[in-house]
Amino acid sequence: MRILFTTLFFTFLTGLASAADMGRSVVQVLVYSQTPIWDAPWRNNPVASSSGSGFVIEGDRVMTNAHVVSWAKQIVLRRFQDPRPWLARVEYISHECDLAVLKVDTPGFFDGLKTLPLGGLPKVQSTVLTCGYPAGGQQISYTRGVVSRIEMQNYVHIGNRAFLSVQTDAAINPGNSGGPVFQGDEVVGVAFMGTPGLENTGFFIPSAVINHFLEDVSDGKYDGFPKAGIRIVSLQNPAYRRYLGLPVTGDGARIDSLADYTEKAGLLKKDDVILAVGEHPVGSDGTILLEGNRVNCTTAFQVPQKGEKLKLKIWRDHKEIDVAVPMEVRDDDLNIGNLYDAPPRYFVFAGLVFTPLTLDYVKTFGRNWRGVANSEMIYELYYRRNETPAKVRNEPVVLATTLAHPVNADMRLASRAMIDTINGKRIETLEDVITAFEENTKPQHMIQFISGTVECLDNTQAKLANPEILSTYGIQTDRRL
Amino acid sequence: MKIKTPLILASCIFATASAVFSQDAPEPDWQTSIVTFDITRNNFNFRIPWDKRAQTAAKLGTVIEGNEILTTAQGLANRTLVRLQKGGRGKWYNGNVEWVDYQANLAVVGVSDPAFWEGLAPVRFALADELKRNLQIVRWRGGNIERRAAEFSRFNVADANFNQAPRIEMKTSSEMEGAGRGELMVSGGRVVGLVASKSGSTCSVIPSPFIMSILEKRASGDYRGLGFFDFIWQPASNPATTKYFEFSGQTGGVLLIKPSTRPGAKSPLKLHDIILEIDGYPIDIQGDYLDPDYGHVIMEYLACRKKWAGDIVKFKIWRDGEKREIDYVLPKADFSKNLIIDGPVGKEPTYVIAGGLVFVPLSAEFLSSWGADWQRTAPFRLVYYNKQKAKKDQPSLVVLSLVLPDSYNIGYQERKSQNLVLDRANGRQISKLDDLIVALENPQNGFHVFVFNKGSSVQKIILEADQLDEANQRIAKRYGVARLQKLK
Repeated sequence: MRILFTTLFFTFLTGLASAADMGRSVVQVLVYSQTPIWDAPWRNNPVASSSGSGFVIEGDRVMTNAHVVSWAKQIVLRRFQDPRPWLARVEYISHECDLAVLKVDTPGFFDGLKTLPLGGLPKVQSTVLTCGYPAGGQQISYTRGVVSRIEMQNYVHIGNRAFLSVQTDAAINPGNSGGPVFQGDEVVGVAFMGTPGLENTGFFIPSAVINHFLEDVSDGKYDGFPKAGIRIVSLQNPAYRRYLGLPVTGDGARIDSLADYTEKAGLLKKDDVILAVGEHPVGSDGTILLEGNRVNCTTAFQVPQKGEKLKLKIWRDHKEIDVAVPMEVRDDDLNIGNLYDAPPRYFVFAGLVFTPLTLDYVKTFGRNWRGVANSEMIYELYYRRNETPAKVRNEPVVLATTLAHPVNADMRLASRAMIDTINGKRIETLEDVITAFEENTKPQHMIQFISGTVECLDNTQAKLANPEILSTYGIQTDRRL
Repeated sequence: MKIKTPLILASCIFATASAVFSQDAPEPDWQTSIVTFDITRNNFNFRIPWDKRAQTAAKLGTVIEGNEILTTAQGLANRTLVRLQKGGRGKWYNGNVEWVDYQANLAVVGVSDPAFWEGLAPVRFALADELKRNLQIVRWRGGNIERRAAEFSRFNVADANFNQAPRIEMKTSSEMEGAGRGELMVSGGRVVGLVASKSGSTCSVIPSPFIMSILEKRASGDYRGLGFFDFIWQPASNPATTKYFEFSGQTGGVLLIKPSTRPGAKSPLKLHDIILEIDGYPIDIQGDYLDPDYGHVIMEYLACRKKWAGDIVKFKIWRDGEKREIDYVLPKADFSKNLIIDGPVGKEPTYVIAGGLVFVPLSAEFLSSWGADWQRTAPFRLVYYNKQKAKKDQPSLVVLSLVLPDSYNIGYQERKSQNLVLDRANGRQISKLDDLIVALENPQNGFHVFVFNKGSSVQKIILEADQLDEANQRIAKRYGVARLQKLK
């Protein structure tokens, strides 16, 4: 008993000493950022300051979370027990998996800092140590916890993508974001989010996702995570399994629907049963066994890089076939995720402010935007692409607001409405708005909204009023494209 | 019917500050003209459509000519027993609803026992110019007549919230607690209206001229129900817009942006017509007209101002650079053919349960089971069908509303298998429950194949055909469902 205690105590001390040593490679990330105002897209919110954590990885770089450095105007790093500020810049950033790599151009920053090695996926119930600068404190903080579970989680930074995530009861607080999670001498994850209302619940990004990101950027540019464009559902009903000619209690999950592009590619079909993804057999509930954890099989779809092929074992027409699916990165759902770092596109004409329909725009309706925003906008964002892909507009455009001026004062519908046509031209992109106004030679401009409502402007007066309106409202340029 | 931009629906006519009591008639004894209702009804939950819950409600009515009682239609749907009491106490008499119009929110009730009518006297209704002064709300409470003062606020045409005929209502304020159950609004010796609802201190009153016009029409035996304008318009207040449509030199009118909201209806109106006059009343650029009884109110009311479903309403419009006159036949306020079926009120929910899969028509009643704010709280995709046109081969929709868990339907019990719109069953297009019944009689190679609308969270469900009956019996027993289907 005594020996055991001594051993444990020794191990604990060794662990702390090791972590403290590695902690020297954990830095504080101080950020000054400025986010745009999505319904007044030429304006920005006041500059805000925030802080996170980061750690040194190979290649004299610092890894942190994308959300720590999003919209950054200035990034300053602070080393362990070093009072000097070090300016950094974003080298690569992935908003979908919430990771970023920073570079420091000032020589000397990496002197004496060790590269922290990446480990594998930790086991459930194993102990991990988070390390960082929570709550804006200037001293490094260590907290220990166990791995509670490993599963796919929605990554809140982007909002519309799910990746593998590890849950721990180690405290992960604001400021911890971007810091390493250690197991032994290796980094097994990047701390990135908590769940409001759940105590002692934090999440970190596992090394599989980190490695995918680092491998992706190794060629000098970030491509992103490819998607297969399929919706997989469980296949557990005996009748459905018999219908497809499969044993009632066997494995395999069913492709219930396909994205338009996948359907056109023709490699995968509805009612295909996925028996295996890569080397992983797929259970009837759509999960695979990944290092002892049952996780959704989409985890395996996220392993290939852009352009690589993913081998699937498929049950189709009562026989087993192998399919190699080329994995491509798609940006068709970009606007239904949170957007970062690129200020919103807009065009101002006669005081009418046009901007693309995005999730960020509809969120300007307030916290309950789903119940408050125009239903046409919600349908266009979330349902149109699946239901009637032929009618999808590349970039639906909204009239965000109207800057009051005599030329537009008689318009009844002056804001928060989706555009159908302008001067008879169907509006597919913001550029179409510009063309429609600029090419019209009739005495009036006619704007037709999706609701059917019509508003007109006098052509000559609108042209004359435009510079005055831009000047009155302090808009530097009538467009950002 | 519907307006695309926010409008003030009616003008505000405020009562004069000097209240003078009418001296022309003695105050009647309201005790002989107000009766109390006790209504027992089945309350349905359209999401558990086989479930009936008995509910009782009290309300008030008033004696009218011909030994009849007038009350509001609210609370009469799915009634099982209607009883009436006079004098605020004593014996209850069985009543019979002789006529009800849920769109007009009025009902007439008869009592066959002659003893009921002894000592009762019909009320007199106020004329249009007697509606605004010296208002009181009168009702039975605790065996006594209770009176509370009320103050006229304005006339308003009720916003067509979903599928409703426009209704004129009088807004008044009063501190009477719990009003809105058919109490009488009186002035002097006359009935000004029935109190239909109360929100905060504001009462919505069905005004007497509207009531009288309906009672007269009913008495003539030619009541065809209320009509409504089935088009959508917008104010034509933007001069650039009127110029664009070559409509210059005019001072009023509204722009038509949807000629008809009724599926498959042919309208004499065309897109971008400008409506100048209706039945001789000039329409201003806000869409209001000057009503002789109610002042400035929105033009929707001209669909039921002494007009009835099937009547011709005269329109003066601007089209293709010239004025034209058009006869518009008022459609009946019947929305049962809409893509989201609405009404008629008072019908039991219909459903089909197949292997634990509960199918119901997509209806306003089903959606309103999400509560008063259902247009926001019900599943977005279901509510959005109200903005979509019906397909020719699918004029209405059937929803898989929930799954009653059983070994037969295992794998389909998750939340994502709920509230899906059925497209086809066993290869057959499904518009109504009857289609589904036929489809279930024709399984495909031993399976029942259900395909849901594109974009649904699950697009296909398959069940074993030869086990369906056995599963149905087991599920009915386990969940206490007396009938596995109700089609009418």
